[in-house]
Amino acid sequence: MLTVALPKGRILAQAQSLLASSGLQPADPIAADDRRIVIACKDAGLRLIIVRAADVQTYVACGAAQIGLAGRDLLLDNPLAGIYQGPATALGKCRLAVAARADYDYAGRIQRGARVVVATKYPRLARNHFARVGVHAEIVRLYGSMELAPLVGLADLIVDLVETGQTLKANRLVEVEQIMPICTQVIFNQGAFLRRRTELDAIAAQLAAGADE
Amino acid sequence: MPNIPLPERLEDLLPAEAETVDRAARAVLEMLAGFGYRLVMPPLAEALPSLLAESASDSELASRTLQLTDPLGGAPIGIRADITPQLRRIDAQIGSKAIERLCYCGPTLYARPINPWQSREQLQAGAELFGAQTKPGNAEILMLAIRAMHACGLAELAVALGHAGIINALLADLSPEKAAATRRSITRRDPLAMREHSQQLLACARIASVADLEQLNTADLPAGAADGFAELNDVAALLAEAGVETIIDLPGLAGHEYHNGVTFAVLSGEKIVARGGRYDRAGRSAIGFTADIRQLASELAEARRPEAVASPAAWHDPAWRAAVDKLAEQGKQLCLDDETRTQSCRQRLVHSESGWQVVTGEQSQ
Repeated sequence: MLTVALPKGRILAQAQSLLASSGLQPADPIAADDRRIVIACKDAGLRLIIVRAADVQTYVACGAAQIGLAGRDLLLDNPLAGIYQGPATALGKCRLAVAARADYDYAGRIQRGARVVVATKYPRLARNHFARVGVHAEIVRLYGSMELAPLVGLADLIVDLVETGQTLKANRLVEVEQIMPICTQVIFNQGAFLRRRTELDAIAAQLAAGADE
Repeated sequence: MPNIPLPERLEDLLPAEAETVDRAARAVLEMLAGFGYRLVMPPLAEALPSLLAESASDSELASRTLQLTDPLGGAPIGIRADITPQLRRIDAQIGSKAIERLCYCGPTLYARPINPWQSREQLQAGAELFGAQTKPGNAEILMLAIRAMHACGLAELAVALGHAGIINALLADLSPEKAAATRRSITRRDPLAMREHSQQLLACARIASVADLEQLNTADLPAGAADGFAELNDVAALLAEAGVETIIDLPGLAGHEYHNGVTFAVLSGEKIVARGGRYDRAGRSAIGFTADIRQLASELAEARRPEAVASPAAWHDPAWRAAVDKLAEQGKQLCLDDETRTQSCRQRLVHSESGWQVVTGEQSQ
């Protein structure tokens, strides 16, 4: 049996047509309000497990799943050992960016030796980004509703994923700097990859269908 | 006794598990002793520069080593996170030019767990072979690593071979910072970061099997890399001849940072159970393997205890002491004074007119 860990929510919704047209087709289609967390595939040797995006790496690193889909944001911010990274997919495309209130003088404040308060889900990536330009970022680790932090004075800036920019706009924030492009990447359990590489490469290729390269 | 929880990621091994781990560790050491490996027991802590002699200050080993100031003298010391550098030090102190075969088994500690759910303590067992020639040395350590895992009771073994020398040769032209970043990205096989790397490096990282290895054109590679491929081919041929499933994974695993020759991981099923490699320095060759026996506990069948003989604890009776000495000589274990456990014993040591005697089954009722 080969187990594929998929992140629930946005990525799973985006992956529906990909799954339906691949060897990972679920035996019973996944409904929008589906509550199943283990989903049998038409191919009896495969199953999908649906987990929180932040937990995919853990399932794969432990060997509970041999392969999975994880956001590059999480792979870079909190890399776990025991994982090999695979090809990028066409799913979850967005960017990691810095945003501030429209009236915040970003260029004026981001000077070598400056100190800023940054709210983010990605402490390592945010700290490294500002350190590269000699700015000390005081990190406020939040788990959601990042946009609120600059509005209520909790932070000067946020570092978060931006897809269309609509959420920022709705909250009167502006994207002031792009840090890096983000996508969903295939990940493998190290031992499984070494032992079952051909099989896992074939599934990875299906998951990566439609990606840029 | 206050009920204070253990520090995070440190656990007790309770009887069944502890016996399983102990049995596996003994099996490894006995097997190694059979091939002339002499046991050494380096201390749990030693001078930091000596523990980290082979590693960069920002290496994984350095970040895993718990560092403290020695209250006796104030020097920086570390609790070992890896026993291998200690064996290297011992070999240097012995100072022999001859072949030295050493083995060890002892606890190691990580300042931080490798992954958040993993234990910080290991029971590291392994062997180091110093001063041997490359070809026979590689063969000996690889075959012993496989035998060690068999001795522990693990099955479905395979070996993933890499070569740190080849990777080093391909990174030789890069600045130290760039080389370190490249090494990180190839260790994680991150294809997005690897886009920037040389075609040669990418071609090498893609090699997955012995067949791929044979097809590789080594003519354009730097000299060090071509030598590495010859060494790798030789080891792969040996494993094929021995019927061991062999995978080629050139960059090897993270943590192979001080190696400069063949590196390898032994897998049982899909789990990496032992690892090792060559790290020749200053004219003295060295190759070894290591396994965390504690981590293997969940993979191993529970140790079977010899059949126990139920007995009262009559330590004041010389005749009883003589009787239990005799049982110990026969390899029997006693189950003393324990109502719940003695009920499961088939044999009992009972006192009768003719002295202490072992009675079996119905007789004992």
